Amino acid sequence: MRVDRRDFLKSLGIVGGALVVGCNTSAPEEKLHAYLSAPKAVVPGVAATYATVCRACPAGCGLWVKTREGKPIKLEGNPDHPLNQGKLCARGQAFVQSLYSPRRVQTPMVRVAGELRPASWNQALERAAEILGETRCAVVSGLEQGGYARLLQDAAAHLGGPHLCFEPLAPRPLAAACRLLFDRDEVPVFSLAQADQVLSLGADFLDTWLSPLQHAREWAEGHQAEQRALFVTYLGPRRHLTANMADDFHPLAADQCGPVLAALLRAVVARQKPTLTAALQEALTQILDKAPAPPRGLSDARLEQITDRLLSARAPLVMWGGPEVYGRDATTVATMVLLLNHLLGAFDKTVFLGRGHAWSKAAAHATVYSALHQAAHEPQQAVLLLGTDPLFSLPGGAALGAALQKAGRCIALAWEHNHSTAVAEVVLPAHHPLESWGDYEVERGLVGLLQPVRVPLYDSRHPGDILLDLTTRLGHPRRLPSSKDYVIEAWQHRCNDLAPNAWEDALSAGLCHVPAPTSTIVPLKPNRLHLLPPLYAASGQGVDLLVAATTLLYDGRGAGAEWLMETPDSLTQCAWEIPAELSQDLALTLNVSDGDVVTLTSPHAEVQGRVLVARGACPNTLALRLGGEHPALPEEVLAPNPMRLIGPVFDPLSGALVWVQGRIGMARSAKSTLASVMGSPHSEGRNLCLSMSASDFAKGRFPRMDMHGEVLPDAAGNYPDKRYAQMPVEEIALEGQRPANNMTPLTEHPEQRWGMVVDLDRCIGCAACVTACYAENNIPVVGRAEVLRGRELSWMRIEQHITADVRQGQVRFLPIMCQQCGQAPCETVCPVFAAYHTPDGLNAQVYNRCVGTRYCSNNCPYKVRRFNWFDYPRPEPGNQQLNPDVTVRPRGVMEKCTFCVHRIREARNRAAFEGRPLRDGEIQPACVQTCPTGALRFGNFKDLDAEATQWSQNPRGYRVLDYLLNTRPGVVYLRKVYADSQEGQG
Amino acid sequence: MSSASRSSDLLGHFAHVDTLVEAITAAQANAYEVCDVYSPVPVEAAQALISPGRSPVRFVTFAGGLCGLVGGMGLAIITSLIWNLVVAGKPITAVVPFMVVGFEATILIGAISTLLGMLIFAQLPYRRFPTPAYRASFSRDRFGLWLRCAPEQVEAVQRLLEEAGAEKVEVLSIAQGGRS
Amino acid sequence: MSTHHPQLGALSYGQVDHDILATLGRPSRAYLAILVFCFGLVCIGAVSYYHLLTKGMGVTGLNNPVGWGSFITNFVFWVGIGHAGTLISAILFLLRVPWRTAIFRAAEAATVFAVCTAGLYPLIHVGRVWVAYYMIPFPTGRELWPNFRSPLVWDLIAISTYLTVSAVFFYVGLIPDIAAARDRAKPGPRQFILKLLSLGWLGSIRQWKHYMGAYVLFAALATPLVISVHSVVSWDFAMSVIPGWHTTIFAPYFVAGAILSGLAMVMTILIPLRRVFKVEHIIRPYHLESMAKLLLVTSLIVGYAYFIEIFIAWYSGNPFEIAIFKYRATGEYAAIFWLMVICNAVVPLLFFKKSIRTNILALFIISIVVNFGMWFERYNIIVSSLAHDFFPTAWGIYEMTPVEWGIMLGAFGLFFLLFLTFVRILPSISIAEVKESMPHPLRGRKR
Repeated sequence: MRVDRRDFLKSLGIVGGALVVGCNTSAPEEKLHAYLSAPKAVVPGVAATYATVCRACPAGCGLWVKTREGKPIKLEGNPDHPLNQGKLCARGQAFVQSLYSPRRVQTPMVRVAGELRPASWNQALERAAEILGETRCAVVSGLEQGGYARLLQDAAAHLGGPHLCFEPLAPRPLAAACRLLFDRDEVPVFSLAQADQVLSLGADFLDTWLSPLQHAREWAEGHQAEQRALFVTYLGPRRHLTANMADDFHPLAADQCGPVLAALLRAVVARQKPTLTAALQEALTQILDKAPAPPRGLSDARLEQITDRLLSARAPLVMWGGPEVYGRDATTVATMVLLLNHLLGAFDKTVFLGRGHAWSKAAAHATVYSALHQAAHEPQQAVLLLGTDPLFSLPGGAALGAALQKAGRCIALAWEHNHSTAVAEVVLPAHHPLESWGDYEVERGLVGLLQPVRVPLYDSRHPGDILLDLTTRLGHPRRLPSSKDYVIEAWQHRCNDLAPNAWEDALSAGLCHVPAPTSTIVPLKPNRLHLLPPLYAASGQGVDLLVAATTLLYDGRGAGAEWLMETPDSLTQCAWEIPAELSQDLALTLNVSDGDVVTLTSPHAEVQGRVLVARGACPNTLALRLGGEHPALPEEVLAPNPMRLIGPVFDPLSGALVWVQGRIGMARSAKSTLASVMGSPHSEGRNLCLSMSASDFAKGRFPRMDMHGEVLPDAAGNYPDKRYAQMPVEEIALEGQRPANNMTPLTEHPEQRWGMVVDLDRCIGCAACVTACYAENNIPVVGRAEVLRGRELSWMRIEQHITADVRQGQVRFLPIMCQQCGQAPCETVCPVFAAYHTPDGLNAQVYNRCVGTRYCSNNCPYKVRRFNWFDYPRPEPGNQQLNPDVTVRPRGVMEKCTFCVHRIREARNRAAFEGRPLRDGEIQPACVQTCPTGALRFGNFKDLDAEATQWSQNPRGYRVLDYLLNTRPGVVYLRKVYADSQEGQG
Repeated sequence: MSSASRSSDLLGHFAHVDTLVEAITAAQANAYEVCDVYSPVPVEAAQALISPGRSPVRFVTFAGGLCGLVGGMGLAIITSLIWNLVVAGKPITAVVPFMVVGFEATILIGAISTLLGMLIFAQLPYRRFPTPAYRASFSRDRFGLWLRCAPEQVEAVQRLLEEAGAEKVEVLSIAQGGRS
Repeated sequence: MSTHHPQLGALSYGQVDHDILATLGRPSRAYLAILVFCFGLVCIGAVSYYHLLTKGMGVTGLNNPVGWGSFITNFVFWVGIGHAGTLISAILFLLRVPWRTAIFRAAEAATVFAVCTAGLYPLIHVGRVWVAYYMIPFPTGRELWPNFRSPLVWDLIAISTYLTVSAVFFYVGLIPDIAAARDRAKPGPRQFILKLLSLGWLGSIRQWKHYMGAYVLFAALATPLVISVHSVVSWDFAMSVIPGWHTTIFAPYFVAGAILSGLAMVMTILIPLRRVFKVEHIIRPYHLESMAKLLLVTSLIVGYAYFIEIFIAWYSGNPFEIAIFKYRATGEYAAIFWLMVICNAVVPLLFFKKSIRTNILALFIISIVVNFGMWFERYNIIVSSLAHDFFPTAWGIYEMTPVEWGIMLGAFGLFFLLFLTFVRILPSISIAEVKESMPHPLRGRKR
């Protein structure tokens, strides 16, 4: 890792400053510290951590930024943040890559003769001021709430335009429905914490919808096998991760959400008629009469089951949302959702109003679109884009872009070049959120604070300060000198904490939390329901185009981060691939299979994409993921941008974009291959990814297995054959002795036998662990061509298994990392002891001893070893992210997971230094640390009280292939407990 | 060459093995010194007369092989004790796999010592090549018998060789060479 | 040692001597042309390897499940080729088989050069050849020694032992012939070099005594060695856990296969050789037929191994074993599998017919077929097992890249380059032993 000394000293200074007192980032030179007098916070070789807020998506989770010598190297969840509680999703893990992005805007740029040319700050600002001087300018930023947002509003006011928070996935219909029903223009907060019955219509709440990490955590808590309190029903057009985890999953056409809701409402009304006010009844009938009944593709029996489950629930919750289901009638459907929740009594149990959810502030797509449109076509209008890329995420972006460039009234403040900077008249380099002051109020009273954790990489400035500068140039006085002052002001106003160094405390905590006002049930105003348009009934012909937001790419911005492209999507098992997901029936009729290139035609564009036949997708659907045509994507990733296929059609009531616009044409054009990392998803009866039915679990009938399959205990609970491999704890008891199924005595582990427990019941396949592993262990990114050759270097993978017991095209996930075998096949065969078994039970890999025979990899039954086929390039500035604690492996060396051995050693040394034994939970490998659902647990199996050890004794436990190879792995898997088939009942 | 002063050397060329053998027997009967016998192929009969018994090289081989075995096993065991690294839960001194090492070492050292043994006993490389009695034809299809006798016996020996069936008999001039 | 040779009675020592040494005469144009061609192949190999060395292992078709491919295939192939030489020169020597004398020299030469070629492959295939010496047991400051439990270390020791011993055996056998060549050579540098190489061999009775004594011992040592070497090579696979590799039958199976391939290669070399050098009267159809018989036997053993492997997989009921053999016969590599079966286990059965095993052309063609077959066998064993092991999710496919082809051609070029050079500078048929195997010339016999 090359570090220029000047940067190094600067960064020491800035980081120290940032920690001690918030220093002024615009003049880091003043803070230069000689190395000898480095601030306490920066002990060379020891990581310093700073709290800030993740801006990878609008959820606003708390971050802990791990910095080494002043350089952020790893993002981790802020344990004190109520939202994510120390967890972080894949996108959050990869957020640091956008800081070191090769596409960072490095200097101000001004368009001269149609070409963007570098310019001095002054020139650029002058040009911008010029434009702003003669126009009214709308300020379009990402979702912001708090002091910084206030600044933007002030600036917008000065510039004579609105301030619009543009979020492509904004759930406007919900807000509109709230306004309609409760007179509050806000997005309610949905919480699964109390819920026992959840019905999700399209909403991918575990993954992309509203606040995924929070939902995922709550789901994991309620859904855990040992005390299962939560049952999730999913109806929707696409099998995304939430659908895949649902206990009852049934594909449903996008336009059928309304009818289903109508049917449910009818049933509920039928039961509750007496208790309902006349007004409400009347209003309901108004809606229900407009609803076509019954829904297609869902049997009455199933519908009845679902209704019963909801009605019998203690705390039911109905969720609906996501681009797959936002149709022409979105507001009507949203209203029905809220009504249903209301009638089910979900409010204040699982649905909360009056929390001031940040999402409420997201502007309507229509507003943003028209702002851009005006800037493009009306001489008096301009637009200032702040970090966002609406041209990428709005339909008709291309046309708008051309017009905007021609008009020359677009100013872009951005840290990364994107479609919008490409057409801007002036491009001003803005600080990355990790370089800036800021705040983000997730919901009222929960304020996350952003602080600069690094000296700015380039000659950029804080976007707020740039705006202040511009408005000053236009002759408007500054209310406050700098953006930081806005942040502090807002913080004081919200948290008014008068303690002497409250600000510093808040900064180091990364948030201040004044508990939100508990909302009382808001009176429902049914008198305006007649305004709602009727449900939109689709013809049912042709192919439905579904626009999909996914785990890794979210609303498309994920495609900018290499890690997120390299990490295979758990459902497609493809890396560097954004496939067009075709439902199986369509694949048959079109006679296409995985990898074939198809041409998609809509009234708006014609694009090409690689097909992936999607199991469990609703018939007649084609799902296109957001992220295609992202400027960061290389040529060979044939990924269309779905927004090009749909037109700028907006729902008049909510102003939300109509995502489901229906029919597109499709034609098979060429043969090609998907960059899949998966051999075959079918386990071929190999007992790798195991599960058991809830009824068996309830009865305590835990299967065991031998070479020929699984064996259930007889009535007495005895197993036919006694020759089963020991589990870790029994094994540890036997250390030094020779068990029956072994040739030699078991190796002794004097102090620790590190082990992991993977709860397949909790794993939702979000791949956060995989990305975290990339971030922590300097794993090189190899790109599509190498993935096609089967040379991806991920140390950990989320495998997809289609086992006998899956239903409705669901799949099971099996996270596989090095199993740290007690009797590892890879160790014996290494001629030079590069692989050996450490006294604390790790399967060590000594990189600089490795000769590269690849025998270990051949002999690894789990195929978790990775070989460096080349020297992989690590271009500036990305190499600044490298973790100094982990060797960067050269060409010709075998590498693999070692439970983040550097963390283990560091903790052990710390403990030794402090003269105390290691504490349980003190050490967390990157994957365990970040797992949003707590599916991974790590600990010392020698310590019988350790959490991991306790879990390893769970009767659901098994060890992969141990029964066959007697490898005695250090990783214990807990079977998934799946709900018994729903088809059977009712 | 002290004896050379008082003795003279004769070389008989033979085309046939049986005649050669006859000649050797006769010469030994008359107690003439048989200096050497040259042949393109090994001739057991002649060897039995001149240096009976088996070659001692085999003892060298055995010793070498034994060293190899001990050395091989020793190497494997001792080196694995220096750093007792556990692999796949196998014992540090895993005798079974080490036998392979021992075996190969036995063969290797055995073969090398055989080579040395042969070179030593057969006096190879032979520094005084060619001997005065060596003729190129002896590596082709002729056999050479080199006798040494007192000067006065030269004729007798000559006759003996011719009777035995030598194609031709040379009187070697080593003595003169030796004097001068 | 003279087990009298029925076929060579008519010849005389002088003739043998003359005819064999005649092979060392002035080389023909054709010979030079072939030599140049082989050198060209070596250059292709060198260039390909340079590319591999500078870019990295990635230029091969290897990938995550399949860590071993053409390099190890060729390694095993060439080691196998070697085995026929030692078999003929050592085992048949101990068994006093009459027909070995005329051909063992060429076979031995093939052994030495094949093992040299094979020895290159482990170096080519490791990821970091610049630290390959870590595998050699030698004292270092860290006192870290190789892992003697690893089959690869056994392999290293076995192969180096094999190379040393067979080279020594080869040279010792040459000494009397070098002496013969020396005595026929005109004065000059060539004669001088021969003089040095011959170690001043006189062919005196005493020398012969110790020489023959040692020669038997070499043969006695080489015999178990040749068995062990290919067993150890087979253990590179059998010691692993991979389905299709983890089998006890591998050692005998590989040894038989090695001898099969070796014999085929020796035949492929000898048949043109005897024609070009006009030594048909020394290397007669009788020799070739005898080899053909031996080839037939080994091919039967190999065929049996093929069958028993599959049978055991089925009989064990182990789903993983069953799966891999199903895959070999029907998967992406099915063609290789069936070619292997046909070339090694079916085609040689033609040798049951005398007319075929005495027909030189047929022998030549079939020997080549078997050569190919044995290469396919190694490829099939190594690649298919790795491509489809325990985790279906981790399965992958391997295909050779141009770089690998280049290196493979280079290896063949190197082998033939060495061999052809040898046959021009040293007698490729043992003069001494051919004479030895003839009846001693006795008085009264007419030449």
